[in-house]
Amino acid sequence: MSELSDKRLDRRRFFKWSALGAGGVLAAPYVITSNALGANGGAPASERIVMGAIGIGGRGRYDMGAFMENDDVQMVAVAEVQGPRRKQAKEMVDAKYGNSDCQAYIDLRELLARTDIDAVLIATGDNWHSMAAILAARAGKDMYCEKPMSVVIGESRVLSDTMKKTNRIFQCGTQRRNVGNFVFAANLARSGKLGKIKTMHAEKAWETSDMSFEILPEEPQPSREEMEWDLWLGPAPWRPYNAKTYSRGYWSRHGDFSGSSICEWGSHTVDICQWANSADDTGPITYEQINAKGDVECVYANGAKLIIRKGLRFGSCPIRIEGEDGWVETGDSGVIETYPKSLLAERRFRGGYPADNHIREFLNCVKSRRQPVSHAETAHRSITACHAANICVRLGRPVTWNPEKEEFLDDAIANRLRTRAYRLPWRL
Amino acid sequence: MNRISDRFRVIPGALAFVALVIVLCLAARPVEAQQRSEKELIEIISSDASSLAKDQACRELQIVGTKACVPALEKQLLDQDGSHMARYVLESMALPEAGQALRAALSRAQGPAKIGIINSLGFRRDAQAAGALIGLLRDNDPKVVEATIAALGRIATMEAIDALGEFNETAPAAYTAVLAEAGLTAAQEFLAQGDLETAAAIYGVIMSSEKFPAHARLGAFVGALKAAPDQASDMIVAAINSEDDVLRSTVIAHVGDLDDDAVIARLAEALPTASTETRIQLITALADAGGAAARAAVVRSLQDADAGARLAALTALGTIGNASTVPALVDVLAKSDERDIRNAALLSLEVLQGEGADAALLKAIAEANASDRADLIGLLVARKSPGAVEALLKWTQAQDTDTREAAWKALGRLAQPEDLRPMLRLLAAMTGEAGRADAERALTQVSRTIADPEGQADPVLQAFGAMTSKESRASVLNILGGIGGEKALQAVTRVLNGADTDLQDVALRSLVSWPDSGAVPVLLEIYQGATNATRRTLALRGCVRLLSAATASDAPSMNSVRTYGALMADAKDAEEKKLILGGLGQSASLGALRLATPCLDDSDVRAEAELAVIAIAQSVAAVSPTAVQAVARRLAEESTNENIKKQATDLLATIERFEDYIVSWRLAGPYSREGRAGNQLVDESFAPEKAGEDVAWKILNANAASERPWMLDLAQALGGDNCVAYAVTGIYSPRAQKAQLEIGADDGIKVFLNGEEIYQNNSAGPAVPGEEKVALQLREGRNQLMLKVIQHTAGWEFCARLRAEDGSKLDDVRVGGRGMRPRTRRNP
Repeated sequence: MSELSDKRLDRRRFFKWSALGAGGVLAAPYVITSNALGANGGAPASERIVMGAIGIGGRGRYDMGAFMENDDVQMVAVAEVQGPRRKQAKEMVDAKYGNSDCQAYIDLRELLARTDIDAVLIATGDNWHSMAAILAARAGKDMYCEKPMSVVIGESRVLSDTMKKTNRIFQCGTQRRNVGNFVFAANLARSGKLGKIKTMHAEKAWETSDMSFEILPEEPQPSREEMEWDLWLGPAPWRPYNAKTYSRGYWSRHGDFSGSSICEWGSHTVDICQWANSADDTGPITYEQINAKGDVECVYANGAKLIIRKGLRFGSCPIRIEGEDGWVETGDSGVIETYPKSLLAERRFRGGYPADNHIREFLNCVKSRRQPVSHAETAHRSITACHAANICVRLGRPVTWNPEKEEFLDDAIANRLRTRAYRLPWRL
Repeated sequence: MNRISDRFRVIPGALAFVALVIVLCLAARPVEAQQRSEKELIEIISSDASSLAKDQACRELQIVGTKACVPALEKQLLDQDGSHMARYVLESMALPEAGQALRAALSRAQGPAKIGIINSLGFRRDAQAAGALIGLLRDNDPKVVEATIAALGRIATMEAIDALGEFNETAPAAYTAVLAEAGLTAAQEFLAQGDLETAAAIYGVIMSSEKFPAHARLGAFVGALKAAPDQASDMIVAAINSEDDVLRSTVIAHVGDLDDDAVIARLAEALPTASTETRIQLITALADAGGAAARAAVVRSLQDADAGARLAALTALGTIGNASTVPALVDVLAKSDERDIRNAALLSLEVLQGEGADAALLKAIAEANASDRADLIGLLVARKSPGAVEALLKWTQAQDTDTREAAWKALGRLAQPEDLRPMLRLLAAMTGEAGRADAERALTQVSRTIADPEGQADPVLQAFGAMTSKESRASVLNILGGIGGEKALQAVTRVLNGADTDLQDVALRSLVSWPDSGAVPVLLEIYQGATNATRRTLALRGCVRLLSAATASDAPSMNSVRTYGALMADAKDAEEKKLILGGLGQSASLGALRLATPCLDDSDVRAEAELAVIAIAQSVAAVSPTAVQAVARRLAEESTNENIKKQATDLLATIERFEDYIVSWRLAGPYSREGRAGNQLVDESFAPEKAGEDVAWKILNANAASERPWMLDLAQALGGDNCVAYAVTGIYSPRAQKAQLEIGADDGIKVFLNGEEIYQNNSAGPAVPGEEKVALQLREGRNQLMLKVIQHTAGWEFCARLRAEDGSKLDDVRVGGRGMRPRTRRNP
């Protein structure tokens, strides 16, 4: 039997699980109805977005407050594994609406099972970002998810694929893509006004790029109401309860729970550099550690260099982009410096620049079904560059990346570090 | 799931505690630092070691493991406690042996270990496992079945898909969601591999059954647009005519991704008959899609009956438009007076791209109505249109004033130094005053783009000699007055000293508006020597203007006070003195105060003198409180102006409240690091601590209205949480001496003297004056004192007082500014 006829036979068998007759596979649009595709019986998405919030600590409360500032948002539920935070989050929502209607859950799956919720805010620790987002997509929710979007490359690849196949609106919390001075800097580069891009500098969060894998001694475990430990660990390898483990200053430098210094700020700064270099669907191809502090020099296929390091100016998350004809440097202080200075004369925020509010853009996208500027694939590619830089530092040698195949070139060991097997019951 | 108790069951009795200590010590070491051999690691995972010890060994094996460790890991896969970390290694290994081990363990594993192995095989897309997995669709454990469905979706072979299809026919509802997920995953994989037919078939099945979740069916619909390109246009047209908002919006949002002319053509065709809302969405989507058919459809929408759709089309043409759409956009301008419509058309003309767009715009401007031409010429500036200068030179000769004015304005922005020559020729040929000011402005602007400041006046000066008409020569003088610099000044001065009195007046007026302070000496000389009252007044006004501008742009120099002194000494009447006092009042220096104070005795200018004196006094109170006190007391006692009296009284009260505290500071910040609390920033060095870094210092003003004006509120001055600010001041000490700095800070503080850190206290809490006392070793002459004040909790403020070593008043130092030596008063 030829390969083709073999395939046809399989196809006929495949049709056995189709309810369709012979009349054409794709007559389906005619049977999709408003009820089927609307907001599960709730208010139409075009009028009001019903939301839940998952993982609500300090950053989460900030995000949640910003969401609730929008009149077309109705926050109805929170899910948080830590008791005091859960209580605080519920109180914040109830205070906003002057009632006690906000439902507080320990387990995010209970929140995601609610059919009245259209979209979720995910502000868990980094370890949970990918899994929570994928679970939300499987439950049919749109989502705003804090950065960095993954702990390993494989997670955010599955995340991005999941968003595509379920047609969810996903916005990563890389809000600098909607902040005027960063947009201006990226557009200077993208429009060619700096000339051919030579070197980009992206600030990391801390002086070194170290990452710990230690396990702390066991402490007496609090009640489930106070801290649902197994759920906090999520897909990460199991370890005994220890309160220090879940303090942000600790887990954000631990390899089981985050990508440490490079991912902490690189998720913003590398992201803007990727954008500036028109590399949203690719990434650097070589990575080399350049000093004992774990700074990394990466090179793109177009020859542009990306240096992930400390020491730039202008507040947190600064970037610097140098081209053959000029440079631009900016950061969270809002200050922008350029060479030549005349480039600043063109600074204006109209005519095609994105809206100046990240969260508002997300809400608009939920309604228009257009993807936001910080959509899943761009965030995945940016964080992939950060993870590759971390792998280079962790292995103590240069690595070469193939952005098309998303694998390291002839490097079985580096390739192993792209993924982490999820602990049950979690599955990518 | 608390596994710790199970883990320690393997270690009997008291040994458990010892083992825990050993395990945790091992665990605390970084993986890479241990560098244990693969053999050692295999021994650990094969031994009775604790689960945590085995976990750590597995982490190391992920990096150093070869096929040699696979048998031991395969065994560990069956252990419920160790299975996850065995998968941690094996799932990531590309070795065929790793896949074999997972497959071999599948049949023997039970419960959670089995589910984990299924997940790993699925993640690895292990096609060789498909057969075994298909068998597990009949497993009694629903969790095993669910994991298997998902794994088969990822593996996505024909065999796997067939099995899922068969399973789907009778599958209980509990599996519907995971079946949809598996189907979408498989279809995505087939699509990626180019097997559109299979992908389309799977999408069709998911779309067609209402048992699948709505979002999955919507995802299938979008996937099918790519998997079945021959049917995509039918599907899209059906969707955009649907009443379902979500479906319609989703499909339209994906139109931009489609690279299919036939689909775009159908959409373009469907556009006129779609609902208004859909037309607006479609216009934007067509612009995203691009291409000739889409462009033509959007251009046609410029005639849409709905204003919203017309506006959407105008905006969309900024994205999809090219040279060919320029006439249509210009036509909209010709036919519309509505501001929104005109603005949208102009913005799209400004941003539209493509070869020939600038040339098309130039052509359209040439043919446009005179009433629109000026707006269109403005676009050339925004676009920095190449080749525009030649046309602009021509349009400076247009019949209508608006076009001429716009052309000169655009030339000022677009012309290059090499274009100055033809521009000057046009100037020379001008008669009358019409448009002359526009031409002068443009020539000034272009001259100032010459890179060498010394050469900026050269082209204009060269043309000056050839200018024959008086009007043109006067224009050149005006232009030189906008350029400034030494060469221009010499040329203007020559005219000033020449014979032509008309041109002399023009030259003087040009000096009055001179852009730099270089003209001050010339103007001073005219003022002092002029016999003509008008010229003298003009020169005085010019002087005061330039001195005031210099005061506003940087610290007042002694020269400006000296010049004010010379002006005042030569002032002939009250009017002149009033003019001088007006400028002097803007000077924040003790010298200015000394110059203005005697005018209080001149009854003709008393009112202006009071205004100047109080303004200067307020600005230097922090630096020279004693001198200010004297003059403020006088104003408080003698002034008849209640407002001045009150300001003087308030100022005295403020100075009283300074109580020797340092209130003259320059400030930089706030500085922060994302994710770091304020108290973690104490040892973080920001720009002011680093040599050679640019720091934007600004003056910190004491709050005179406060009961404690010396308590400096950083929260008000800078704002911010979890950040730091730097405050710097100068101390002039006539001799090397020991002193004491009394500080109070909310929250932490660090003290630097002459660049050296001498004290820090990183505690949080309110600022208590004098709570902390820091010994200072002042050197003779200038010292620099810098404080780093940290915001960590609640408020953010500080106070600092300089005392003698024993805490008594310190009289012989001067604090403030850069710590300069105090100027001694000359003997009269």
